[in-house]
Amino acid sequence: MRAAVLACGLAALASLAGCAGAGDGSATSAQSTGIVLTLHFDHYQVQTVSLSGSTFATSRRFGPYVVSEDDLPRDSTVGFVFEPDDAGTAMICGESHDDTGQVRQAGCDYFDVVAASVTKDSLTLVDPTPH
Amino acid sequence: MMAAVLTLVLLAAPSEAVSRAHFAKAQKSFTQHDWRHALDEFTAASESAPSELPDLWFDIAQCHRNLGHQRQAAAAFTRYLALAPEAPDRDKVRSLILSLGGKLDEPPAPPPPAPALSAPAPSIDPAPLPAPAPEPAPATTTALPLVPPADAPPPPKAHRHWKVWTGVAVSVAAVALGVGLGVGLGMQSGSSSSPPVPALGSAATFDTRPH
Repeated sequence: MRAAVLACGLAALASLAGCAGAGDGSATSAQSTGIVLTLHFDHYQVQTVSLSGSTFATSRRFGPYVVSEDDLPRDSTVGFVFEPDDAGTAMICGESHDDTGQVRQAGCDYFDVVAASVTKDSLTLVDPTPH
Repeated sequence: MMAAVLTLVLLAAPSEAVSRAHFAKAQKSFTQHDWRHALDEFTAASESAPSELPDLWFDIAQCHRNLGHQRQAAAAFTRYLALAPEAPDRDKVRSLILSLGGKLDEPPAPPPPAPALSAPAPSIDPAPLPAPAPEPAPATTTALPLVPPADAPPPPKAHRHWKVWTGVAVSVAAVALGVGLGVGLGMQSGSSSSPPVPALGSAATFDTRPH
């Protein structure tokens, strides 16, 4: 029992050391399953952006994740970490809200999720109200 | 996908005609006291105009003011004064900015180069986009009230903002608590089944994996 605990402790330490060693994140990212999205939206009057979605392979919903507009400079990216079992297609939706909570722009799209790989794509939010 | 992007680019391209169309809708909405729609249309008109017009910022400020958005109204009025530092109504606008909680200590920005749309000298009741012909515009298109009319809907209560921010704060605190508990419990149990979240995005990274 003690040996097992010690082995677990060593494994945890090795895991932490591995993460610390990957200072540039490349080693970790290479083994991660994820999507990096570049968000395009009109920042005028936007206070927050909420992001949510679902995975098709595992029928799992995630979000909403709320990000302040202050933390989203133009053409900034947001990352989503998935399980390898989620490989396939994921739908991700975004909404920008003003200071009253009203939706100003929205957008949804489908993205490829590749196991043990980080894919890059973009999501554009547009004004949902017709002019 | 490319067609959609091309459409978006074309729609977003500065166009005097598009700007005028938005401005016409904005004026109509403004006269109907539909401040929200007027604001959207004035904003669209400003964004699609070939150059930045101070009068549009004045109208945007008015809409914000009528909607009770004091901070945005002050910012828009400030932008108006920056673009038109010699506006004849500058003193009144300055007092408005102060009454809205804004500040006047910022140095005025230099006026932009000669706009493609020859805007008239702004006034209290500006006509942001002048008609191409010299004929006078209808009264309804120029009379943008500086003060909200008596029958205007009351501005939203300040506590709405508090609710939003409180909600955001609670959400952030809940996420932080959840992440903290998750990390703490994970470290306590010595389990390595849930690896740390790599920083994938430049702004934020969300772990969608079930915990």
